[in-house]
Formats: sequence, C-alpha cells, structure tokens
Amino acid sequence: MHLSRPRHETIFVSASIKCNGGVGRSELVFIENYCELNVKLPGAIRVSQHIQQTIMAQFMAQVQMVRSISSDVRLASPPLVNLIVLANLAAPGSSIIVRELASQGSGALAVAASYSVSSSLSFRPFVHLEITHNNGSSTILQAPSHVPSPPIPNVVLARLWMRGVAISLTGPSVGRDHVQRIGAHVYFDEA
Amino acid sequence: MAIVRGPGRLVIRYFDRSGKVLVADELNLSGHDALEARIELPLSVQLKDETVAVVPVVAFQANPAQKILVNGKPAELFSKNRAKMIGVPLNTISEIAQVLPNSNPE
Repeated sequence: MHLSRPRHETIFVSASIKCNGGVGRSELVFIENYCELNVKLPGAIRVSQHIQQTIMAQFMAQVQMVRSISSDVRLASPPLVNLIVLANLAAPGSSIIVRELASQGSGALAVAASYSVSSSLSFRPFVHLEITHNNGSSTILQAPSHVPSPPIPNVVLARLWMRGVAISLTGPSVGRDHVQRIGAHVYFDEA
Repeated sequence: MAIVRGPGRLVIRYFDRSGKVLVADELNLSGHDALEARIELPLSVQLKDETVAVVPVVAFQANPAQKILVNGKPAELFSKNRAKMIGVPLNTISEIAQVLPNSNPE
C-alpha cells in the first residue's frame, strides 16, 4: 500500500505552548484518515483534538504489457487487462480525486533473419477508469487525462481497463515477428 | 481468464502442440500489494491455414508472493491439464513444465 504517510505516525510540530509558566509540546498523530492533535503540557495535562479529513492517502497503479507474436501467427486476440486498483483500501464511501490517467503504446514489426530493415507502428491502447459508487452506479474516465478530476464521491471500487489492438498480419508483414508494447497508469488521492 | 494478485513482473508463453512458442506476454504490475489484474489469455491463434490451440505457461515470475490463477485454478495445474487436453506429447509437457517460475525468460 502506498500512502502519503504511514497509517500511524507521530510528527512533532514546532509549536510551543506556555501554560502556568511552563512550556508544553504538541504532536500531530496521523491515524488512518484522520489526525489527532495531542498537546502535552507540564503537570501531565493532555489535550487531544481530532482534526477530520486533513490527510489524503495517495494510490498509484501502473501496468505494462509486451506481447510478442511469432512470424507464423497471422492473427491473435488483442491484449486485455482489467486492473483492480482500489478495493477495500480507501474508506468505504470515500471521495477520490484522479490526479492523472494515462496510456502508452508502441509497436514494431521486427525483422526476419533475411531482412535488414524493420518498420514500426504506434499502437496506443484504449484505456479507461471505471469507478463504482456505493449505490451501484459507475463513473467512467477516459485516458489520457493529465489534470486532476473533480472529487468523485462514494467510491467503493476503481478498475483500470486497458485494451490493445488485434493485428492481422498479411501481405508485406507476413514472415516477420510482431511486438506490441502497451501500458497505462493512474494516480489518485483519497480525500 | 487469468487473475494475478500482487505487483511484479510476469512472463507467459503460449505453446502449440509441438512445443513451439507462438505468443509471449510480459506483464509488469506496479502499485500496492492489493493490486489485482485480470488478463484475457488467448487459447488459440490463427496461423496461415488453420487455427491452433495453445497452452499458456507461466515462464517467469519475479515476485514469488504474486498469486496467479487461470480459470480459477493454479496456473501450473491449468497448463498441465490444458496440455493434455489438446494432445501435447508427454515429452513436450515435461519440457513445458520446466519453464516455470524463476527460470530465465530471455
């Protein structure tokens, strides 16, 4: 799990507190999706205050697939990957912000032994993010998107879909190996 | 349908009846430990004159903690059953069985 902060962390903040002539110390404890402010004062006085929704968990998921096809093959099914990137990680019903959603793709017709040149084509995959809400409805975000989305509420599941292209090798392509490289990634924050 | 649980690098090779590799997939997953990928595995490919059945075999697995299921069964068991079903010779099955996790994919 990649969080911006560990689930339990104590940070000593620089504030000092004067009370009855003494100097106290405050600490900020991050617990799950809230943080707790503890103020330690002289004389064993302790003051705690919950500060709700002040930290955000950050999640990332990346997938890359390279499909190599022998020169004997004329047609193979397109690569399809369904990546479950968020399930039981964020608090149920929480909101997320999709910071970036992108796809990468490249392809090449590799040379056969008797050829001295190769040709390449660009095979960018079709990528989208399917976000399921706690009422069963879905929100679909299409790649590429390089700006943060609006907060998406009540999220229980997020799935990244990546589909490559099926290539039919005929004519000049016959007899050459084929390589297709596709990838996608998503970065998002839990609000 | 293969289900891959956890991040890591994975290589799947697809053998025909004669033991020749017709297709190979390399999959890289990065992210948290709860990542789960579902991948469509081709079980047949089109050649020049015919469609041939293939056996998907996990040839390399970088992360031993990664769990791989194919059609609900452990990948190794699925590969052996599939090889027997499409009539792969026993010696080829044993060769395929040697291409298992942590062998060199190159």
